[in-house]
Amino acid sequence: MTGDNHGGSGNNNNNSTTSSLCPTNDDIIIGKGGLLHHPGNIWFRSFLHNYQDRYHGSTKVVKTALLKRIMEEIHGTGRRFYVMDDNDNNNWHVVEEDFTNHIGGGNRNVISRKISRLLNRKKGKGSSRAHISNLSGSQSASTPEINQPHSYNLRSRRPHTQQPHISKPSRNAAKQCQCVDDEPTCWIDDDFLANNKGIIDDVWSTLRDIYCHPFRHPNASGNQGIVLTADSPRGNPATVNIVRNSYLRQHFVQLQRGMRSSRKSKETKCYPYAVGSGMGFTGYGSVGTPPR
Amino acid sequence: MVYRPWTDAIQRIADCVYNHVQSKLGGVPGINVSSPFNSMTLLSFRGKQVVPPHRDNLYDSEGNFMANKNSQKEDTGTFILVLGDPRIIKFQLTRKKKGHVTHYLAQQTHVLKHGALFMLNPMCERPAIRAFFDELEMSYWEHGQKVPSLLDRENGMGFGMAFRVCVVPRQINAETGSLVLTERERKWDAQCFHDNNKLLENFISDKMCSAMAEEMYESFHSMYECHKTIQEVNAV
Repeated sequence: MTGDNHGGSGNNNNNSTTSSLCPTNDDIIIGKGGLLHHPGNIWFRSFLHNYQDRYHGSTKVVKTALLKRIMEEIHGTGRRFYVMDDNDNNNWHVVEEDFTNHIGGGNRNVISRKISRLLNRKKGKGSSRAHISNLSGSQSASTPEINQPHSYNLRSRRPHTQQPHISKPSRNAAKQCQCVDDEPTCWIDDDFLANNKGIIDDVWSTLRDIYCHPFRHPNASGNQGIVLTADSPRGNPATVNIVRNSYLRQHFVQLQRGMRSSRKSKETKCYPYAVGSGMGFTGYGSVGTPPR
Repeated sequence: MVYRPWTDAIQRIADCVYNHVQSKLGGVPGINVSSPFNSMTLLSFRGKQVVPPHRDNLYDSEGNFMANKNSQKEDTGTFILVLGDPRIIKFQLTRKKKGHVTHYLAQQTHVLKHGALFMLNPMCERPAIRAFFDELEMSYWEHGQKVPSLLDRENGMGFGMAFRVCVVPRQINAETGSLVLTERERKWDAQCFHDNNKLLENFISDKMCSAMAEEMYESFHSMYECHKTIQEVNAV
């Protein structure tokens, strides 16, 4: 993954290779002075930010394993660590490390030391959080853009992680909510009703039924009334609202072809079962689907 | 739960929403908008009522859709027409074992105003490796919150017409509109009643005067007895 020439210097874990090439935007520079905004370093800090929570409060063994994993990940992306020659500012050295051995403890080399130092930073301290939104800049432009949370595109840099069910937003979608990894949680069209005035009468006639026939048994109000009921198979126990502090719902369902019931009876009908499953059947207190 | 027939008015609203959704989200991969809606759930929010964090669909630990535990068709979204007072919906990225993801982008809050169409992405509820937040563990988005969702917590009232495509049929009493419970559900029901009863007793003893308490207790019992009778009739 590293340079073509592998020179030999330093200790067992560190090898510095003198390279005629300068570090690219993807590479990470170790050293002092004006390197904060180097795109590779920005990527590096934000990459480590993902591990910060886990690193804090972990045991020493876990920290060592995590360091090892982080270094393997960076190794896998094809990025290199560069360090500038102390005597000649035009000379760069590629820092080579043994990514599998001697991480942690007293034998820590320069890269793992840097990683652990960044991970040990308190949250919000320094500039790692501020630059976490600059990932697009780190990959394409030499001048990173600040505060653009919509422009994350990390997947191309992560060869082994899988994103099996990520959807991409449509260009013509309504207001797409803030997303990361191209995964919107929802879309909201604020002007839907304003742009579809034809259904306003139908909407209000449906809602009006609630006020005209509140809490009435379906038999009493024919097909027009709506019985406000708690989300429970028990029907309408008012006490549930006090105890569970949950919300009320009412289902309208359409008979569909192809749906057959196992029990044929004139007293029952077969409807699509709609609950909005919630947390699933976990007993009392859930909003979930009762068992079938 | 009470089920009501699909009215013409609801059909017209559903058609309008469906056409809108098809035009806007027709090409989005991962979201199936090919089936018209066959279910509308009217959600009511009043005052301090709370919608706890939840997912609409259930997935197994590997992120596969559990067909036997969901009524909704796989990959179909939930589309809610928001009515009434504005309310807040909060999304939180959650790991299955280690709880909420603490990253500041792992929490999203949106205000739903009257007349808005809210479209829930079915993909966001599916457990997956979301590498930006956690490269090692699967996570998924939950929605809801532990505080009241309505902005006006005193006199606020809001509704939501939630349109879905449901594929699981259930027996429903033609007269009452209530579900015909299975044997297991009936047992669960009895257990819930027992738990509820205890909680209610505590509530009454703590907060209410004895006269009100007795009245409420009677009301609760009669309501449950009535319901039990209906269920027994259904079972027969």
